[in-house]
Amino acid sequence: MRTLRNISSFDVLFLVLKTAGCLRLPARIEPMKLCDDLNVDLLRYLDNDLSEQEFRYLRAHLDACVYCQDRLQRERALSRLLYESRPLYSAPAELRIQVSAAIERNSARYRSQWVWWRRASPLVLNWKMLVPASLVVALCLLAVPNIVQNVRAASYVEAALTNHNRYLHGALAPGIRTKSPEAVTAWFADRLRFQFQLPSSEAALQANPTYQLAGASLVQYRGIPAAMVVYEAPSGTISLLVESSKAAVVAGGDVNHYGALMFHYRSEGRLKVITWSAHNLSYALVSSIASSAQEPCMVCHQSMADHGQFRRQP
Amino acid sequence: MPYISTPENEVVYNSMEDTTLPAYMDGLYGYAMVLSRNPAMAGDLVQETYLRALKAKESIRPDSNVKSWLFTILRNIWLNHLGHERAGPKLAELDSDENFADVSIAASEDPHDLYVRNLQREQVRAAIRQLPVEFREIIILREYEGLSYSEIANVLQCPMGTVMSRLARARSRLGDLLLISQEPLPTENERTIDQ
Repeated sequence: MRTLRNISSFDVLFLVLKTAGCLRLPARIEPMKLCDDLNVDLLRYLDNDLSEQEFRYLRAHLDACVYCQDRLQRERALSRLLYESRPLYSAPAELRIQVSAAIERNSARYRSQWVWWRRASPLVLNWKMLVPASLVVALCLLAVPNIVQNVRAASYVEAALTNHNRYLHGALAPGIRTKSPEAVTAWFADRLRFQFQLPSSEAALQANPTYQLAGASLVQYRGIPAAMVVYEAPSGTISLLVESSKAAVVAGGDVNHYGALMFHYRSEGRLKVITWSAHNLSYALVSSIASSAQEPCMVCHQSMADHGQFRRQP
Repeated sequence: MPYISTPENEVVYNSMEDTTLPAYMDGLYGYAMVLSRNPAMAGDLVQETYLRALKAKESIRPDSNVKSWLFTILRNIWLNHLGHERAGPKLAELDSDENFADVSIAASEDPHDLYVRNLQREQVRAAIRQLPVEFREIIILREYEGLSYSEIANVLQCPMGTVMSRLARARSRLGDLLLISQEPLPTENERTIDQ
C-alpha cells in the first residue's frame, strides 16, 4: 500500500503544485476499457501478472464478453503452439565448435596471465617493499569509497542531463502526455521497481499556473527503469529523474541543507542540476532556470513561507 | 567474477563462459536468425557476440543479467551491420531453413510425433519470418527466450509499455498467419480452477 511518506520531499520543490492550478482531486473512477484495449491485459492474465484489482476487472469483463473469451482462448492456443515448437532454432555444430574454441583460447590466455603473476609475486612480497605498499593500499582503500561514490553520483547527474537534452531535442518521446499527477502515477505503477507517486495538491486550485506538468517517460539508468517527469514553464523545461537509491547515488557538488534534506547543486553549461535523496529514492532535477545555485529552489519556494531560506544571491 | 581455490591450491577463474555456452547458444542463434533470416549471418552474429562478451566480461557487474546483456550485444552488432549493409551488397535471405542444422533429435521420441513436431516448428518459423522485424524479435525474446518485459525493454531500448503493446500486436499478427483455431471454451469447473 503506498503511503505519502515518500512524497514529502516533493513539498520542497514542487511549489508548481501550489501555483500551477492544474490539479484537482477527481473521484477515483475506473475507466471502462474497450475490448481492443484489453490486448495487453489478456497476455498479462495468462502470465499471472495482473494485480488483484486488474484481475477482478478483467475476470468480470470476460464473464460478460464472449468476444474476449474467444480471444483469450486464441491466445492460449497460440502460447501452446509456440511452446511446443521449442526450440525454434538450434545452433549448428560447427558454430558451437568455433565458439567453444574461442572461449577456450580466451580462458587459456587468462590462465597464463595468472601464472605469470604467481611467478612474479615473490618479488612483490619482499618485506622491504611490503610496508610502504601496504600504506599505499590502505590510503587507497580509504579514498576509493569516496571516489566510487562521486563517480556514481556524477553518472546519475549525467544521466539526468542526457535524458533532459534528449527530451528537448525530441529524441525522447514522452511515454505519457498529461497534466494529471494521478495519471502519471498510474502510468508508472507497473513500470518501476520502486513505489513512485506524484502528490496531488491544493495548488491545483490556483488559476494561473506557473509550471505545468507535461508528462512522463520511462528511461533506463544502469540498465534499471527510472522515472522521468517533465514540467513546462514559460522560461523552460524542467525534468525530474527518479531512481531507487540502491541504483542511484547522490553526492558532490555544492551542498545546501534544508531541514533533513541535503541538496547537491551543479551547473552544466546553461543547465542547473539539483540532486537529493529521500525515502530510498534519488532525485535529479534539471532546468535552465536561474543563474545561481540556489535560485532553482525559488522556482518552487517563491510563494512558500520558507522562501527566506532560499534567498537569491546578489 | 569470484575466484575459486581448487584443492591443488591453484586459482581457477570461475568465468561466466563455462555456464553461458550451453545455456544461451541456441537462444542467441535463434535471435540472430529471426533478425537476419540468414544462417551464415546468424553464425557470424553469434560468434561476434561471444568475442565481444569475452572482451567485456571484466566490466560486467556480478549482479548483472548476463542473458539480456548477451542479447543486447548481439542486437547492437546486428544494428551496426545494417548500417554497413546499406552501402554494400545485400545478403540473400533464404526462404527455407533447409541449409542448416535442424534441432537435435531426441532418440526416444516417437517418429510420428517427431514428424508432427518438426512440421509444426517449420510452420511457426515460416510465419515468424513473415512478420516485420520488430515483431519477430519481440516474439523470440518473449515467447522463446522467456525474457521479462523489463529485460526486453532493456535489450530493445524502449519503454516497457511499448514492449507489452508490441508483443500483443505481434502475437495477433502471428496468430492470423498461423490461423489459430479456437479451442472449446472451458467448463465452469475449469474456469474456477483458472482463477
